[in-house]
Amino acid sequence: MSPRDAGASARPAEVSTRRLARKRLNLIRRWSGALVAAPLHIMFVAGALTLFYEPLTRWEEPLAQEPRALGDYQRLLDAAAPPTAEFQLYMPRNDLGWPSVAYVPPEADTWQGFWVGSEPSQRLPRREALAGFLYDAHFFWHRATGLVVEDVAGFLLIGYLLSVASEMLLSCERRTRSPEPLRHMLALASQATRILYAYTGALAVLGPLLVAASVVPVFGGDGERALRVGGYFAEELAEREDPEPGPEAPALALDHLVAAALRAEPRLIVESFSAVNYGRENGTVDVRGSVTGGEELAMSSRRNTSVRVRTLDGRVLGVQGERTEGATAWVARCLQGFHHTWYGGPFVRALLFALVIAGSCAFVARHFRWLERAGRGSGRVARASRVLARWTLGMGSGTFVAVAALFLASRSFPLSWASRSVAEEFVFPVTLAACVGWSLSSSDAVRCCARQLGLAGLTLLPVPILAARWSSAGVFGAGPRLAEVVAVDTGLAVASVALLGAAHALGRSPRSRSLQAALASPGTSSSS
Amino acid sequence: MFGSVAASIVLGLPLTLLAAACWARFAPLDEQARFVSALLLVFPGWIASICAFSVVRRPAAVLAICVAAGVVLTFCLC
Repeated sequence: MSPRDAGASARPAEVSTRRLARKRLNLIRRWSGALVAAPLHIMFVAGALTLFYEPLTRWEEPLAQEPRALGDYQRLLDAAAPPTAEFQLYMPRNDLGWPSVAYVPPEADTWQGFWVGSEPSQRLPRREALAGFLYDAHFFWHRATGLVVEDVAGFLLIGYLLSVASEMLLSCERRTRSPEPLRHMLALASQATRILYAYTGALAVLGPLLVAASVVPVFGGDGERALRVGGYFAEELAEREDPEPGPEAPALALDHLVAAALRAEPRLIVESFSAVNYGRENGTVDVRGSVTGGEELAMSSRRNTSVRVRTLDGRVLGVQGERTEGATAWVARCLQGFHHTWYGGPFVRALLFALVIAGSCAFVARHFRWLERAGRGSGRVARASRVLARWTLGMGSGTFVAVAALFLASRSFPLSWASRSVAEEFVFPVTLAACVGWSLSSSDAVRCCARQLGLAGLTLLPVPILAARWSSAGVFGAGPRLAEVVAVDTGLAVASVALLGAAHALGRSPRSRSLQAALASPGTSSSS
Repeated sequence: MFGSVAASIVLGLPLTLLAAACWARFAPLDEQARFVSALLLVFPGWIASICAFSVVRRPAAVLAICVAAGVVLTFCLC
């Protein structure tokens, strides 16, 4: 056989292998993306809103907007009188707002809280759940749905990364044939933000599971060593094993504990306390806060330093922050810093917010288009694709309606209503379920999506005006304005206009009309 | 097609975990560095193994590769 003949016989096999690989990668990209697009959209939208967690906590609660001069810490703790030995005490931020206490009642397994007034025994239960709920919703309301669902969220993020990786490989492979893949590569590069959030989020959620799985094969069954080496990634495992309360013993005054913490870290600005077994012999208090100056420090250390002090004698047990050394601590600080965006200012956050929301919407739209194409034939797969397409689009636009409804409920329910926070939390899933049902039952999913986006915009429109009923610090308030409250009001107004604009554009787009026609006649086959 | 892709997803995870465990135990770095580098590489490794298996023509070959590599890695860890 001549070399030429040998080359000719090898080529078809090589081409066939490439075709097979391309087919499989396409299958992975499409199905992994299609299955995770809708649930991940909720995670990304809620997560993007969590970028503004601190302004939202200020905006949502009028008590957090009142100026408050702080006396000594022990007097405040006496006034708060936390009902359990494990509690968290939050100080006013920037001399604004009432202090607050969070604790887990003995008969419950969820955190509850109250605000501590300036008068003795003046305690008001926490009434507002919006910011906390959005934080929880960004990994599937794990407080109510359990840790298993949180772990599922981690695997969905891996599914997203798998979809993106296979898309990148396909783009690289196609680059040899046409210039179009360059555009694809640029589009993928714009997804860098979401890739970073997905990877860091997956590690944060699944890291403890990986540490637990490595105890035997890596550490020879030595759990203590795994916790020590695992550091931040093993924190959750360590916290599950609460130390047993020791015998009763008087605790030193909180001011002494703060003084001890400040001796260990003089640059610490105290923002909160976390007590475990307070009033017991083995009681500890974590004095938490940010560190001033120290621009040379890691970004996360400036925001998240904690000094653990023993309540019995004020002995400092450890400083968590930039002094924690080792590769694990360094990596954890980087991951936390990126994931929680402990850098930049409001404009960086606004940019990241826009990138994440736009990327998520594009991802949903792309997989919806593929699903509706896959659903044009007949058979079980086509039928499932049609349902999945409508579900994806319903979740895509329904998330915005649910968030808007949550904001509207937050400003509409009476502040004195005892079940207000629970009712507020249920507004989100109920609205989302209604929107998905609407999309599934609608004969025209694209128009339904446009209507839902319009509904979200209209729902959000009156929120800044309603906010003025309780707070005078916003755009429509009569009192002195607070920058954070004004920024949230303005952001809501801008989001409302953007949603109405998107609804208008989607309703009039010729591309959406062709999609409507395709969806209206699912039996029509298409080779596109 | 679905079968080979599903096999690569399901078999890729234990294989990657075993490889990461070997790295975390035997890599020539200090303990924290080798453990955290293994932790960081688990998910990219899993995704890479799924993509790499897509060029293997037969599902049986994927299975054979996973079993062989799994046996070798387990032997290293024991």
